[in-house]
Amino acid sequence: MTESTQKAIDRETLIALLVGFAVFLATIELVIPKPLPFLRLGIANLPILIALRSLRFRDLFLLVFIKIMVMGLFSGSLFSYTFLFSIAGGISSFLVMAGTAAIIKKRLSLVGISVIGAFTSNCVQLWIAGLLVFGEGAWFIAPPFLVVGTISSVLLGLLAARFIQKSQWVRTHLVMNAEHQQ
Amino acid sequence: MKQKRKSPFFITFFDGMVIAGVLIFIGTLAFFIYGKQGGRLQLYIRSADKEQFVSLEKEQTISLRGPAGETVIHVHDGMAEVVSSDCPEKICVRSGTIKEENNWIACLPNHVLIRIKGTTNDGIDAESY
Repeated sequence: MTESTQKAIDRETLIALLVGFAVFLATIELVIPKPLPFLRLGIANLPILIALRSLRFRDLFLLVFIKIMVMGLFSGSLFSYTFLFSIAGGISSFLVMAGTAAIIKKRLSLVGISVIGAFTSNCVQLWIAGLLVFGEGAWFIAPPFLVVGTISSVLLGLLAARFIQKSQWVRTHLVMNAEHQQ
Repeated sequence: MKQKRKSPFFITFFDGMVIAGVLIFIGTLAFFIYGKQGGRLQLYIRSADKEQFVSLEKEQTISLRGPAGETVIHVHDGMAEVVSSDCPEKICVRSGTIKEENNWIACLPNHVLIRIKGTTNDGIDAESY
């Protein structure tokens, strides 16, 4: 086996592992009852935040995309309009987070990136809700939705940073992988 | 990867700026959206096929059709509530009763949004959104 095929296998395994982790967290989130429709934790974005500074853009995109598709299948929303919310929110927030992480390297920690990502996702979802369902009334439910998103994203960012610092697995597979590329 | 994080809490100055910026945005939005108009209160109902205003004083039961089925709203004594809805999670039913201006109940699956509106100046709403 050549070195390049070994690297390709490692890369695929890593993405698959992260997708599995994200799907696991998303499933947990799915079974937690929600007292209000906008009270989402967003814990499924933890693997994306953890990998954000280590994987290449296309690998991250693959991770986000597969996670959304798998969750669409699991929750049965794949061919309903609810899926539009998750794919639009997921892809847009990922693009903004990846862009921000690429432009501002050291000054912004995962907390700031997580807050920006959640804010983007929530705004896009509100915009779609306005377009498809509630009309102008969508803005009316925006403030509580955005406040909850900001609080949960700060906590998630802290958790992701802590995870990277503590996890041996992240150090061997993600950080070394990133150094290898540079 | 030489960067060493100095802060034990992983928050940088720029993170603080981002959080502050987002919160200021939300605050401004809330200020414009939840500004009260006062006057006589009416119930604004938006359903899948139409928008309507109904009086809160007159006791009435309103049935709305949407993609998930039927949503029934009961209005009495200046209050409104969703009594039943053919949606999976029943968040709208559990939302309870609304009676003050700007209170709202939403049922996303059945495309229903009800909200209590003031009537002094209806034009402001369309502009501030």
